[in-house]
Amino acid sequence: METSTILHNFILDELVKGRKKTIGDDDDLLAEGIIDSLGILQLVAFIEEKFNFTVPDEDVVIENFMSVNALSKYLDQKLATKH
Amino acid sequence: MSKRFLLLNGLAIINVVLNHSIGWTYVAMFWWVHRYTNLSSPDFSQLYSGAYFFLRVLEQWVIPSIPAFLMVSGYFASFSAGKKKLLGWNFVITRVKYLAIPYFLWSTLMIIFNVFQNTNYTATRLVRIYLTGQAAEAYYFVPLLISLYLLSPVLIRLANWNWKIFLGITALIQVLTKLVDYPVITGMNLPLAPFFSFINSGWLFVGHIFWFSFGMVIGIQQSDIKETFRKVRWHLLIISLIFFVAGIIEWEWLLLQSGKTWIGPHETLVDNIYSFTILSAFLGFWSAHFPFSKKMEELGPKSFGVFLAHSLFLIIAARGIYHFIPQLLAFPLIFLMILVIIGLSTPLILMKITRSSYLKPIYTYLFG
Repeated sequence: METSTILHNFILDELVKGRKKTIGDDDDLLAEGIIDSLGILQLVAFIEEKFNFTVPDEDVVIENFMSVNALSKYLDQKLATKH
Repeated sequence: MSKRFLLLNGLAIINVVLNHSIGWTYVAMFWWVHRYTNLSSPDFSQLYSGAYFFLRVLEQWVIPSIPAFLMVSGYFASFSAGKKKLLGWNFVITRVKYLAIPYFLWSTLMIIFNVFQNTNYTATRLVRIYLTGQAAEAYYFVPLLISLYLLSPVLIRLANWNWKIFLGITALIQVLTKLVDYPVITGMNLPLAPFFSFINSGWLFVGHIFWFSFGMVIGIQQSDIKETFRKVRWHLLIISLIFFVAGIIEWEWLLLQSGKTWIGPHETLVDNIYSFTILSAFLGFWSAHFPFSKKMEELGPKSFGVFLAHSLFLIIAARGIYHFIPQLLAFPLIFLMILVIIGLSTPLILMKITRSSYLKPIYTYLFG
């Protein structure tokens, strides 16, 4: 499964706030209130478990977690370096 | 370190429930004595008993809960500001919306519950209750957090301008606020006492601004702070232990100075120093493994829902025991344990049911 699909599914199943049933790849997750502070931390925990990869503190920045697209790009880059 | 905040939130919500359960246990020990003895209430013969001191130690332990929540919120605000180092109003509005709607619903539920218990409300009183979080003991936290989020666009600018001066000033504001609370606690008849009491209101940000600012600065200076706290983590832990004990002694001293048989909860300056050092030590030990950390990390994201819902279930449980099994009130620690279990598990069960039912779309509006 593609990184963005995995992230989409997790966000929609576990984190999404309000009545949203879909989220766009470029939707601003925080500004649009799709997820909250603890949602970001849950995302970090999920990524670490799912992709077996530790997210360094300096990478936990809004620019990497702004949208599904931003997060997918960040993850793909990190996973490519790892392999 | 960032993942530590999930664990911290989980720990903090357990402590919040424990704190309010302790409050009810004091009620059982001193104000409900007539239900299980021939004595009339209130009766303070259990003051300074083994159970009392055990509760006091627990009560001191849970003090950093609200500072922890505020610190995590401040950290999140600086995270949201990102490289732009600015917070927009859309961020503030979104945060306030998801705090205010569930808060309003649960406050209303508490008010309705109290109406059935023959409490009368005037329109002015209702407005005051909603604005200052008086519908339940714990609710002052929500207006407090909302006001800090409303201030966050300004605070983040100041934090980015010079974080040391910013932290120093917010610490000073908080220290002064706590200092002027001492005459209020001891009941000194000063002309400014009503004002001192007002600025120490739980819902007012001045007495808590440092915690939110501290979280913001942690977000901005993460790697430096992480390293600094790691280096001095043992010192911080030892200092926190000293202030933990000092806080217990101080409270008994204040009780004696006040000349009263009982005084309500106040967070003193000594308590604040304890909170600061224990929270910093917790961050300093960021790589240490804590028992049940996985479970507590899972509890962290549910903290706001538990926070809002637990008060109602604690009241129902405590009053239920008072009316139907008053013999239990004679066993403070068993009573406490029952309340903690009910206060934690009932909201969690309710949240689980809501999430897996057709009510899922409104989950956020109920539990945040």
